[in-house]
Amino acid sequence: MPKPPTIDTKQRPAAEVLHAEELQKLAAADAAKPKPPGWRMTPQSVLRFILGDPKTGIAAKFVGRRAMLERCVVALATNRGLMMIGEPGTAKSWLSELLAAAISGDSTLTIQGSAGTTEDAIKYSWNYALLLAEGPGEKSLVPAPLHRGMSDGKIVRFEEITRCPVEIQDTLLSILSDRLMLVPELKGEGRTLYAAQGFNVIATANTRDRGVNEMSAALKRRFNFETVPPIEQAEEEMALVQRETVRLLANAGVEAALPPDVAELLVTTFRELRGAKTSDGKALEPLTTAMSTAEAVSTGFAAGLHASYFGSGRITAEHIALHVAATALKDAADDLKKVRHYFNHVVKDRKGGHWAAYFEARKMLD
Amino acid sequence: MLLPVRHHSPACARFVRDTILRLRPAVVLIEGPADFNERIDELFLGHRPPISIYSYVAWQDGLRQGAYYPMCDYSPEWQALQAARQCGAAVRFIDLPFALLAREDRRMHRYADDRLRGSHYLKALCEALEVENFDDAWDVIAEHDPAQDGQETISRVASYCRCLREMDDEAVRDYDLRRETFMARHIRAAWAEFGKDKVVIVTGGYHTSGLEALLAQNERDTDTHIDWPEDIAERGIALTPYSYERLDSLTGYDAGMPSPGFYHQVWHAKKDAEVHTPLLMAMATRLRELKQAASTADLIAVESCARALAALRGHARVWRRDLMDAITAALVKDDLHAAHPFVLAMQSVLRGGERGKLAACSPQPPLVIDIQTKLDIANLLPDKSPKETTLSLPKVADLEKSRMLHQLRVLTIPGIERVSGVDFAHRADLTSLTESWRVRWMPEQDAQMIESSRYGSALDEAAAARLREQADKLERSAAEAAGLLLESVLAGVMPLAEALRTRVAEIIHQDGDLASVARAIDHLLFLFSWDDTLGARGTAETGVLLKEAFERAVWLLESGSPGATAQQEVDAVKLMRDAFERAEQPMALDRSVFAETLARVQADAQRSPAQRGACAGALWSLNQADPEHIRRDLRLFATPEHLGDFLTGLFALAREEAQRDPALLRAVHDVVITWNDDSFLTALPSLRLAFMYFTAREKVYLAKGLFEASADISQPESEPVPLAVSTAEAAQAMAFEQSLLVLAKQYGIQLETAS
Repeated sequence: MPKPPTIDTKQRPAAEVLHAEELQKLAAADAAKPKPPGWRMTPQSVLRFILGDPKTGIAAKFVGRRAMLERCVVALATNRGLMMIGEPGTAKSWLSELLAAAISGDSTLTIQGSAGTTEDAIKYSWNYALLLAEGPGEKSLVPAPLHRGMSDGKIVRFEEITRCPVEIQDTLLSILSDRLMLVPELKGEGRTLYAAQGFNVIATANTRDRGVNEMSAALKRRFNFETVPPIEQAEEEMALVQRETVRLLANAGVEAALPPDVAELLVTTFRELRGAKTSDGKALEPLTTAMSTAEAVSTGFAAGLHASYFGSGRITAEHIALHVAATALKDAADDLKKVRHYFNHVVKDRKGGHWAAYFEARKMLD
Repeated sequence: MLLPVRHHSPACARFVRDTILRLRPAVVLIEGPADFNERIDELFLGHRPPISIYSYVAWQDGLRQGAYYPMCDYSPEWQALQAARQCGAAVRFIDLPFALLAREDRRMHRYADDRLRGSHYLKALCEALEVENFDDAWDVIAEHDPAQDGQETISRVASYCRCLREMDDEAVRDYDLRRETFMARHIRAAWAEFGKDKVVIVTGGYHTSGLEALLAQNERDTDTHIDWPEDIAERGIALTPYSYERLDSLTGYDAGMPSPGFYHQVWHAKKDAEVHTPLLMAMATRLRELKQAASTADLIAVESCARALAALRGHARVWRRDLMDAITAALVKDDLHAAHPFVLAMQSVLRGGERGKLAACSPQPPLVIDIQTKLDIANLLPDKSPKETTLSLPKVADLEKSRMLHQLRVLTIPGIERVSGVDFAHRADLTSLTESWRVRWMPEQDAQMIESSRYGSALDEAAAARLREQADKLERSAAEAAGLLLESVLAGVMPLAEALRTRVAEIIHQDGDLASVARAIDHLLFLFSWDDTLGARGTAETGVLLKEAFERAVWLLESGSPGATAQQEVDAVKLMRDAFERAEQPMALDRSVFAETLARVQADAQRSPAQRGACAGALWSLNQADPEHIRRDLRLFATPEHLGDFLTGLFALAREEAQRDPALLRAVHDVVITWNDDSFLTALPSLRLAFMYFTAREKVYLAKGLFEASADISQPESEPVPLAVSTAEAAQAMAFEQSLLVLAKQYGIQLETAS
């Protein structure tokens, strides 16, 4: 039998594995303190884990406003679920993973919403061989994430909830309000699963595809909504994009740096197109593509691979221009036109050698 | 005793009041304009706060500046005044008058805490306190805990302010040192007069440590005489009513404490009582008025969320940020953005609606006196019977009167009414430049004048400020913004309205609608090139804005404006071309950028034929296109559906050039004769529209040219038949026909004329 992958060979370890040491330290420090029932650490420690704490040497893992995170943590401690909405690529899923890892020590109870998600994938299903042999019982029941979260008192993550049909979303109604799940096939005590302390739901939805408008009012009422905005400060976004790009490149075995002036081109382009506004206040036509921080990172990553495989290894303005078109815009022809317009009217007038080179590289958009 | 305060802080106000009542000093010295001291008793006439001391100065070079010292119920300064009066202590203001600072310090709001915001120290402090910004940090330091002892509060404030000053990124500014030197002299004088322990001093915390250092020196100077600069033309100081709305709208350097409605509630709540409950109820009422869902269950969710947030943050009571966060977390069920109705309702509740009122016996604010003086000079003092006056704008004296009346209209003073007159906004008929006004006394007039004094102390200045406020409320409509600018020209306050112009430029920048920007160009072009009456022609101020609008339009022309009609697209290009011709030289517009953009749009197959025709025409009229190319491009539109549209655009822009180029008409002819009857009938309406740009005479010349140039077209067989009757008879017949038509119309019969 092959050995299970270790942390080094896994393509992407879960947050609680990646940051096991920090979680351990925080939980140990909070052992005697009062905390919400079923939580592994105090709400304050959850915030420290996510936003970082220089005093205890905990690294920041998410760039965002403290008040927003405080609201998220409080929502999870009350009897409402937490619904995070926002543009694609604003790190909603990452944030929900961090919250689940900190609160329950387990971020793997995840339901991926899609048009094909069924109730089985949310609540429970059956091991049919055992079901036929022994009839319905604890042994033949295969718990899905919601069932497991309720019985173990853990946070359940429901990704892209709005991609599910409304009827499937409404499965959550009674679970969120009464905090119990009925298993009508079972007899006796097993019929009703009461949620253990510590159970709650973090759902994410992006505002680009199907919005939250179709969600039933009854379900909306059972969630606190938080809009996760794109990163506010240009410097913070720049630092994040540089750091993540270099990390991805290193993972891919490529030694390439994103020089600061090239990073400036990349991040400025994404920020201005995303906000449909130039840094000096001119309005731009909004794109249909989201132009998120995550997309900026993939653009930087693609540019880095390109530079390393087919170039000298130095990422240039030309690589960025090419991959803004290829990686970020996908096949949106209208957006490409708007980006050309951006080059002709905004990039053209910018001062500095790298901007001039960037403008020269506009032919990559054709 | 020196008491450090933050202006508009209820905690500081409470401590100041209690300390004065306990110590019963002989005199209370307050950071406030010393030139108000001779009238300080006016503060005790029984006003209802918020009110403000307004100080203004006019310089000999024409610059006017003004500043406010606003005080609400819970201002430490206001409470110091009340407590001093209660225990019979004298009161003195000890800060330098505004006129001595105005040249270096542009803050309009003298109790703003600019020095408390935004340094490295503050950033570190926010991190240590685990809060987001200064306002939240302040709440933690001083406000939220009702059990916090006053002494503790004030020592926290003092040490916070000292750290801030000592660890500031910049050195203490020169005018702050001048102010402190002046304040120290006042303090020494009071010490000498009453004895050290009989003096209480209330100043902004930032100055306290500076004052302590100055007072510790062995200095004797007690000279509080004010040396007024010699180039002051006029100055004044007076009380005016103020409002929470105004206090809350300040930002940047002029920002004070936010959410006055919240702190008002803090001040008036009983000790230990919940501050947020009445505000939450007010919020629920407001939302229900707006027909938004706010059920009891929602309110319970807000309440529990707010309490949990307060507990998480270690607040003793649910505080401002907790309430705001709980409302957004529990009530907002979609995308959260700054203009979300819930967010707006919350802000308005936290802002509070208090408006100050001056006691009936107080002297009138300067604005009211200014208005009455001006109306008196113009012989237009309102009376119960209406006065009508007709003004001829080319006369200087009448223009002055018109401007004054427009200023009053901008301030919405009741009883000032423009009955009729020339319409500059639509410029339908500019032949008779007169205006008629009706002026009469109305009951609300005085109240509105006093109310308006919050905009300024002089009429023109107030009108400019009011226009600016209106511009702030506009969103993204360049046309409306330019309309406000036109108003400012009518009121003769454009040079004063620098802030308005900045705002108009901002709105032009943000407008994404080409038609709206084009209308803005229309207004601005009129002001810049044609207006002889109002005095805006050729001014740099209009020129700069025209340039902004032009450049924005070039930008939008290229990015395309979905939803615009063909006519709007053509008009926009025409206005841009006109603006370019008028302003290229004086405003240094970039010919190559304009021409390149036009060329790109003209070549873009996805644009409408009319717009492409207009761009071709614009290039032609600017001598940037070869007629040969245009004739060739014409072939691209050689279908019955498109030809007329293209020509409409082309002729609208290049009427002259098209007439002088017989080959173009020939090319059109070559296209049209290839069509069968159906195609021709399809094309006819739009072709007819295209040729409407030519006058009847021009059309005759065009037709003649076409006949001469082409041998294959037969000349019409005869010249038009001359009339068989005399011109007079023809006119009579036409008049008769006209009267018949009118008569028929009265009976509901629609007839068409034979012509």
